[in-house]
This record gives sequence, structure tokens and C-alpha cells, in this order.
Amino acid sequence: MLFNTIDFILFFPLVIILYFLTPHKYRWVLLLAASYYFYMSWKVEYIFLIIFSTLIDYFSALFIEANKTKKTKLPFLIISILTNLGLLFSFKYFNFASENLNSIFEQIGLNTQIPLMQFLLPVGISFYTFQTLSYTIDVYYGRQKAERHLGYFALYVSFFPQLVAGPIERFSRLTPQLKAYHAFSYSNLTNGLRLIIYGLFIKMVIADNISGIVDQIYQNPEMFNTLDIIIGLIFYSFQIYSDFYGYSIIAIGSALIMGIKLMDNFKTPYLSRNISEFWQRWHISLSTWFRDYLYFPLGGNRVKTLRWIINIFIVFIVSGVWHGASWTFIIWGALYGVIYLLEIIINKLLNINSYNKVSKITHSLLSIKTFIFVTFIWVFFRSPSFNEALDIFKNLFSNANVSLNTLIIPRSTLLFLGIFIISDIILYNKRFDSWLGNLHFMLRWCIYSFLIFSIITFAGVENFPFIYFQF
Amino acid sequence: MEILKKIIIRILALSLFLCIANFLYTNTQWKEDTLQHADLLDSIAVKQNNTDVLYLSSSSNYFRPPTDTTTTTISQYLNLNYPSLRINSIHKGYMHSGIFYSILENIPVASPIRTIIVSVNLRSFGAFWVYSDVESNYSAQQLLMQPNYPPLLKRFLLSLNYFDNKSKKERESQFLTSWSTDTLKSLRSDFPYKTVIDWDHAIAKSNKYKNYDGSINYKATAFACNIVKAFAFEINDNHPRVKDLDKIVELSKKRDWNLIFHILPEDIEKADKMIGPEIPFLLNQTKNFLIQRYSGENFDFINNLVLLDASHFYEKYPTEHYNASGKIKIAKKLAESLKKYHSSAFKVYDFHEELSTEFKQDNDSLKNISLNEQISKLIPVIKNDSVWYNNVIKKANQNNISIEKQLYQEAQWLIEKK
Repeated sequence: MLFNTIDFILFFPLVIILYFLTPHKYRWVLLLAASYYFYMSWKVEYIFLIIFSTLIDYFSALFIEANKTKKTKLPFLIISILTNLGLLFSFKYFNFASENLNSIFEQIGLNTQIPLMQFLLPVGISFYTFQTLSYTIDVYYGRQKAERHLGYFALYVSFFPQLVAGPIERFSRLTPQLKAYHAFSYSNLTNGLRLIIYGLFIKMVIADNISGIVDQIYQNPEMFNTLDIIIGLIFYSFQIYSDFYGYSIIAIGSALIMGIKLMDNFKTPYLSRNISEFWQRWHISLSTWFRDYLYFPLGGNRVKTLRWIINIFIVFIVSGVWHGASWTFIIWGALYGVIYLLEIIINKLLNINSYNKVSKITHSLLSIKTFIFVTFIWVFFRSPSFNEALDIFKNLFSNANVSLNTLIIPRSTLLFLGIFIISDIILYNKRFDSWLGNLHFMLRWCIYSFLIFSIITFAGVENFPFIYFQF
Repeated sequence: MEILKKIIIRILALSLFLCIANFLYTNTQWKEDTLQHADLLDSIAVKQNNTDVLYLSSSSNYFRPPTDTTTTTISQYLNLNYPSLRINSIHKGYMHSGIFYSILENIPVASPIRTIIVSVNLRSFGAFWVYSDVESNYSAQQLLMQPNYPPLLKRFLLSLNYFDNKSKKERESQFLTSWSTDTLKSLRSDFPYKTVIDWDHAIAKSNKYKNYDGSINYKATAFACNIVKAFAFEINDNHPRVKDLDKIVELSKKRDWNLIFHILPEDIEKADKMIGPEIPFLLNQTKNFLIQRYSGENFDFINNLVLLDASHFYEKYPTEHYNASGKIKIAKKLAESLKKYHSSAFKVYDFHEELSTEFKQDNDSLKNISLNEQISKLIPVIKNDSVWYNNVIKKANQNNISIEKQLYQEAQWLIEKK
């Protein structure tokens, strides 16, 4: 069930009404049933994967807590990690690993071929496995007490607004809210609806309309000149941003109506001054997960320089791998590692300690610089293969005089994209719902009218699932 | 209570806004959206007011083989027998009875249309067509063609993908499942293949089709497999196309239209020769089911299934694409049937001129038209097919030659292959 479908439009209000009519004691039952139903609307059988992961981690955490020493706790942590990563590997990475191994076998003359699996990737598996892993790791390190109530734990794993594409929530942040009593709040309702409407606008009107233009470039780059390819690359930067950001704020808005505050996942990332700041503003829940559960355990920056550099690359490459089972994602991650380190070196050489007090012009120029890097690196994220990514660059630098096809961009698409960019600048370090709440009533209703009318009449029409669903 | 009052006021304000928005949208953006997402509505708007007889069809009406020089459609040939009638067609590739019904629903009551001719393409009953990936597009069109919904609501539902919007992969999965699980119960009990997949695989492995030098003719093998996939199916009362035809019949009764169903010719001869009697058996079974179902109804059901022989068909895979003489034969049959409703408008027409020039060119095209002329006729066909043209461009880049040269080579190869 996608957020921008009639199914969700009917499902969600029903859940909300029932939520506030249900006595607090049983609300977890309602939400858990709704969450499972939400997930089963994709593929019924895959609910067993979530249930399996939930049970393994629930009992692992209890056993971890029951044991006193790290030596006796460790096996249960390993069970949790192996189960979750095993599921992830089986469904997401097995075929990639097999194809590469088969290729190696062929090179060295071995007659063995590992057969490929034909399973459909379970939606959201990368998100909920990481979410539950964070829980068992926190219990192991004593940062979190094991949850005894299976129902609340299951709800933490499967809470439907953030189940399939995040934000990846920590147990200590989400579960107390799930357990707390939330009375109906008019301000939560209005703020939540504001976020949902804005999220639908940027997903359906911006992302979905841009998508067709981007597809033209990536499918046939040889048919477009350099300028059109540049436009295509820029458009992709905004497509993936508006798609994922839109989904996240719909999730946040949906949860907010129920009184549950999910973490912000994006904070105007394209206004970042450097790559380091970009990753503090883009997919925040994932980058903080990698920081806390991979980077810090590896030693972070409290190690020798060479080891620190290796840590940086490990984190970025693993982040790339998390996104997809392909060499392009690995290259995508590695490139971020390279740019990140280059920036640090340049800052050291120029004696720059911080970008916090730069002028607006400098900030703008630095943002443009970061945006250019990010846009180029996105090519590897978007391209289905390394060769196709190279094709993009090859045609980018050699098609200056080619005039086979001209990219046709509807004026409405340009207008809406322009509005989105301006709104992103206005919303620098602000959230849409609170910013909107401070406006005059008439202006606020004009904005509502504009957003609703745009969603109804200008939404892109084709089968466009949220990009991050593939992870 | 205060909060409830606030919510109710806002709901009322939203409702008022939506009514105003619907008015604005209907008078501004709606036309552009229908042109983009439901071009059939535009066809209906243009044609419904100046049509007496409406011919509904898929590409069989207009497809022109590359070696044909004429673009005359079946409905236009029919019009030659009825010069005083306004016979117009609405046709588009992969259209079927479900879309025809949506078109008919949108014909205004005041329209002068008196007779509807529905071409019944038996291949449209098969799984590949039922689950084809153009269904997403047609499904979106049908949503926008709903006669009783306000335009703003239709556009909103379209935005929410409230139609049968499946990806290519999902559709593939649907027809593959159908081919694997639907058993062909009516075939003789000792027939070894009970599902389309089994039959298809058997043909693919059979090495039955050979070239003159004894080597395997892979093209013929693929064609044979496609015949099975296109025509090996059985229908019943619950088949979606049957239900669509039922709805057309009901609507025609309600609107007091004269109705003619005609089953399009299929290349039974080729199917029999390449596969055996089973495919003709299944096709005849489908035809008989339909004839039986609709006999007794007060409309004409023309059986043109075996009207044409193999020489009238143009196909790289099983299709209902006919050359000019095939189209003329169909039109003549339809003309006879149309006499029932428009006898005073019927005029005898001698198709000799069309047959003597166009048909002759069909048969003698290779002798009378030089290779260069044929190539120059084929190049625009390739350019009009965007997928084909894109491939030509890719090949040109790979071969490091100009696109014009690659186009020439592509057309030449195709003609020499034929």
C-alpha cells in the first residue's frame, strides 16, 4: 500500500478514528493489526519474515539481558545479527554475490555455477532489519533494557508509517511514545495533515513529473546534448530528494496525528556546505545509524590516521551496499568517502575549522559546490550498471553539438520545481508544519488550496513507487 | 465540541473549495489532461457528431503492411459501399471490447450514430492480451472516461493510481501464471500438453521447423510458439471480454443502436500447418461459444474467422494485420450485413480498381518496385516506431556510421529477408 493511493486514503482515516476510539490499553493491538495489514497489502507471505525477525530479536534481547557477562551475552547478539543480516543477504545480496562468484569461477575455469534465487525483495527489509538490530545492540551494550511486552516490541518493529522506508527509529525514542497515552490533539491533527499534504505534493507533483524526464536521459543519453544531460542529472537530484523526502514527511505527519513524533529524516540537504554536512542532513536516520553502530564501534576518529581513513571508507561503502546489490552502489559509497576525505584535507590546508560563520554568499557558493558533487555521484546511484553510468559521463562530455532530440520539459514541471527549490530555501532549518502555522490564516489557506489543487490536477501519472522502496 | 465545530467548518470549506476547483479545472486543464491521458475521449468528441455508423477496432482496421501502398482502412472500404452514410472508425492498437464499451458509454444521447460495428479479435481473449502492459494505459483512459464522475474527481483518482496500474513485470507474471496454471480441458484426452507453457516449451525443443538445408529455422519455431501463446485458450461466462461484450449488447439495447459483431479473420491455415488441428479447434470453440451466446439476440454476429487465407496476412508474429485485398474482403462481408439496417444507402461498388492496383502491388511488389523505392517506403515506417528507431540509432553509434546509413541498411536487410 503506497501513501499516494486510494487504499491508504481510506485506510489511514479509519485507523485514526479507531485509534482514538480505542481504550489506551488496547491501542497497541489496533496499531499492530493495522501495521501488519499495511505490510501484507504488498505480499501476504512476507509478514512471516517480519514476525520471524521480531521473535528472534525479542528473545535474543531477553537472553542478552538475562546473562551477566559479555562473553555469555555475545552468542545471543550474534544470533540476532546473523538472523537479520542473513535475511537481508538472502533476499537482497545473494544473487549479486552469486553472479560475481559465478563470474570468478568461470574465469578460473571452474565448472560450478551457483543458481540464482527468484524471490521478490520484501519491501522495507533493509529498514526494519536495521531498526531491530539497533535494539539488540543497544541491549547488549546496556544502553537499553530489554522489552518484555512482545506486543509493544512487535509494534516497534512494524509501526506502519515508518515500516517500509523509515525513518529508522531507535527503540528508546519510539517505544515510550507507543506506550504513552495520546489524547486527540487538534494541533497534532493540523500539523500532521500539513505534513501529509506537503509530502504528497512533493512526491506526486515534483518527483513523479520529473521522473519521466530523467528516464529519457538515462535510457538514451546518446540522443541528447550536453545541456539536456546536465538538466537530466540535476532533475534526478531533485527527483530522489523529493521522492524520499516526500515519503518521510508523510510518514512523520501520519504518526504525528496519533501523537507520535518520528525523527526528521531530511533537513534541506542541498543547502549543505560540504559532504559532511550533507550526510547530517540527508537520510539522517540512516547516517546516524551507521555512525552509532558501525563508525563508533570501529573506533571512529579515535584511531590512527590510516585506520580512520579505512573506517570512513568502510562506513560509506557499507552505506552504498545497504542501498543496493550492485557495484554502482559500492562505487557511489566509495566516491562519497573520497570527496569527504578530500574536503577534510583541503580544509586543513586552508586552515578552515568550521563553516558555521560564513556569509550568505559563501554559503550559497559552498552549497552549489556540494550540490554539484552530489549530483555527479547520483549518476552511479541511478544507473543500473557501471557501463551505463560511464555512458552518461561519456555523452555529457562529448555531446556538446549533438542536436538529435531536445528534452521537452513542461512549463508546469519547471514551475513546480522552482516552487519546491524556493520553499526548500525558505524552510532552511525549519519544518513545514511549524512554519506554515505561523503564517496568517488567509495565506495559510491559499497555500493549502494551491497544494491540494496541484496534487489533484498536476500529479504525475504512471506507476511510480517510492524510490527507496527498492531498499 | 469547539474542536468538532472547527473540523466541520473546515470540511465544509474544503467541500466548497473542491466544487469551485472542479469548475475551474473542467474549464481549463481538463482538456489538456484528456488529450494526454485519454485521447479516445477526443476521438469520440470529434466523431460522434458526424457519424452514422461507428466502427470500433484495434490495429486490424488501419495497419498497413510495408509493401502496401494504400492506407485505406476496412471502414473506409466499407464506406465505398455506403457513400451516403458517414462511416467513421475509432481504432487504436490493442483496443478490445472493454475499451469499446467505455467509448460507447461516452457517446452523447444526441449523437446521430445509429449503428455500431464491433470487431471481435479472438486473440484479445488470450492471456497475453488480457494482461498486456498497455492495459495500464487503457485502464487510465477508462478511468477518465467514466461518464458520471466529476472531472476533478477522475483526475484525482488518476493521481492516486486508482486504476489497474501494474508494472510490466507484474503483467508478465500474470500471463505467465495463466499460461502455467490454466489447463486446456477441451482438447482430446490424449493430447500431451495441458497448459500453454508445456505446449510452448515442447514446440521450442522440438526442432521441428527446418530450413531448406536442414538447419533449424528458429524464426519459424518462435512463430509457432507465439501461435500457441496467442490462441491456446478457452473462454467461459466469466471471461472479462465476454462480460464486456455482454455490456455492449445491453448498452446497445438501451440506446437503440443497431449492433454488428464481427469476428476478425485469423490465419487458421498457418496455425493448422505449423501446429496441427488443435489451435483451429480451440479458435472454433471460442467462436462457437460466442455465436451460441449471442444468437437469438437482435443483432448480427458475422463469423469471418476463416474468411482469409494465409496470403492476406502480414505478420512477424500472429496478428490480425491484413493486406489491402484482405481488408476489402472483410469490408464486402460487412457491407452485406449492414444492408439489414441501411439497405437504401447501399451502393454496389466495384473494387476492381483498388484490387488491380493495390492487390497487384501486394503480389508484384518485389518485381515492380525497385529495391530503393521499397527502402524509401520502409524508412518512414521505422522512424515512426520509436522503439525500433531508438535501436537503429544505438546501432549507428555502435557501428560508427550515420543514422541515415543505418536506417538504409536496416530497411534493406528487412526487405531482403522478406
